[in-house]
Amino acid sequence: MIRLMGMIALLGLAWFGSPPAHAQTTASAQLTNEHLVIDYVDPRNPAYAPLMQRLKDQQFLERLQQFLSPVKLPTRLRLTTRQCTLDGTPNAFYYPLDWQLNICYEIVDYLDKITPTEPVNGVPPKRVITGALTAIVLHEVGHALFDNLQVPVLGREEDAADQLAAFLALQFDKEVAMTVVTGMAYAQLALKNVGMGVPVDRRSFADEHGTADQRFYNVLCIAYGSDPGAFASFADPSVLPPERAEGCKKEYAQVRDAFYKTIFPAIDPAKMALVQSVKWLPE
Amino acid sequence: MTRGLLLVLSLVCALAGPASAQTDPPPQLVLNPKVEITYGEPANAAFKPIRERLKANQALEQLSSLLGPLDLPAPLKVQVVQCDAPSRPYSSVTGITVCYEQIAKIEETALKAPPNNVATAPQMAVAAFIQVLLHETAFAIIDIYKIPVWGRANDAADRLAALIMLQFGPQIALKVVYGAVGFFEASERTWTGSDFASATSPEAQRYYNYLCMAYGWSPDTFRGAVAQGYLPEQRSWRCPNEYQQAMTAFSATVMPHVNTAKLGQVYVNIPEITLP
Repeated sequence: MIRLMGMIALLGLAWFGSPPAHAQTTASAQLTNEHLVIDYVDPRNPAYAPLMQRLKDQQFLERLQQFLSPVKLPTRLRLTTRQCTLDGTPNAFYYPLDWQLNICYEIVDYLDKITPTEPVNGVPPKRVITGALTAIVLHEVGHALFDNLQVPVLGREEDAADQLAAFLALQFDKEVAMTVVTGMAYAQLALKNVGMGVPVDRRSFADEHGTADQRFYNVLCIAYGSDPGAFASFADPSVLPPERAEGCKKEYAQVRDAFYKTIFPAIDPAKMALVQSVKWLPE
Repeated sequence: MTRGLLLVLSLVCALAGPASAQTDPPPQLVLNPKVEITYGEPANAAFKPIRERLKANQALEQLSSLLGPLDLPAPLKVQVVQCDAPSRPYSSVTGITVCYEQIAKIEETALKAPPNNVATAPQMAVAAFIQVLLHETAFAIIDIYKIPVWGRANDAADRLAALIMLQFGPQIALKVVYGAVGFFEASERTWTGSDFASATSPEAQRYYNYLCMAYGWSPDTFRGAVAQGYLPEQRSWRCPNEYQQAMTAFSATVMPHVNTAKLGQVYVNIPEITLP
């Protein structure tokens, strides 16, 4: 668990702020992985050009690359930011045929536009959006790891990817965990508000994804199950119904067990130790 | 395991139909000595005929035989009892339980299904029982062998149940899958608001999940699912991948606990049935 915490701390670097300069230098020099390739793809729509530049300035993909570097990947994994559609549909997806994880400019743009006006669960508005983007990226990382590491997935993969995203986020300190979990839940509510993930008829249930409501409850349940004290507010009956809340510790344990049995063996301990040695999160 | 599922079908058919419908002599079953079966005496007299049918048709003995190829590390209880509740989920203490209440409800729901359902009432009753039995058995397998589960546990149990249903040839697969999804359709209720907080998926989702697994197993056998509009084309495209993913997980996690030499010891019989 400690080594995992180290890896997750690195993720904190990637998504929650700039690391101390010495830490960044050390990590960028040693946290490499020849199987990870990054690519900021020029958008066809010039309106997305500033957004791409912002991601470049933030070293968005370089940091994701560092975060994933301890994973012993059997094949090349390409991490890209790109324009994915002509109609602006917000999305992010993993494409298994060429092992490519795509973060679409459309989803980053969309998240910018739905920034809440008030804090959510005590998380400042902009951080909620940072948390949402982190959760979305981690969800796609989940698909990529399931595919690359040939992880046995008995349940529905979309739910599994949400579980992995939430699990990883919950290995942060509680402030960071709350940020990502809140962002993840907020994104589902925001998508629901524009009609995405909302069943309009029976055939809507044919979607491989759960409904926005299901995904909202799933992430809150895993968070509550990980630490009922820290996430006690989620167990309010107006949030998680008692009959769901009572099983959340078991749900979290299931995910943790699956992680350690199927993904953790593919983590490079030397790189993990390096990650452990660095204080990644800003003061 | 193929013949094992057929045995379960036999078990269920025997359960749903009158004992006299089975004219062949009872098979010589090879039981799993670690499986401890119980036909509970129901307090409710209305359930007694169900118990008698189960016993007469060696329902639980056949399930024991189905589980024969599994190397069980400890005794596993399998029981049919009056639960005084709609159902009783698997637990390591109580084992696999099917409640008399569940069986009665299955038959009642199947008989009330609209005539345009994807399956006949007897087919639904048989398949729904198989589905419940395999779903609970899946939970037992996951627990006993400490199998890692990604995705929601109930969906994983459904996929494991579907996989078993699909290993025994087109005729069985068509009958059981359409029967099971027909039962989900007949059981559907409207889900709103906090209903979606349930750890169990809505009936409609389970309907499509089972159909997708089946179509993914054999698009040719289940081409009617898409042609008739039961399974949307957009979902169907990725169903072969879904099936393959579940099968890969099964091979990696469950098959190491199966004694393949014992697979041939399972008896196969599928009698015709009529609902009471």
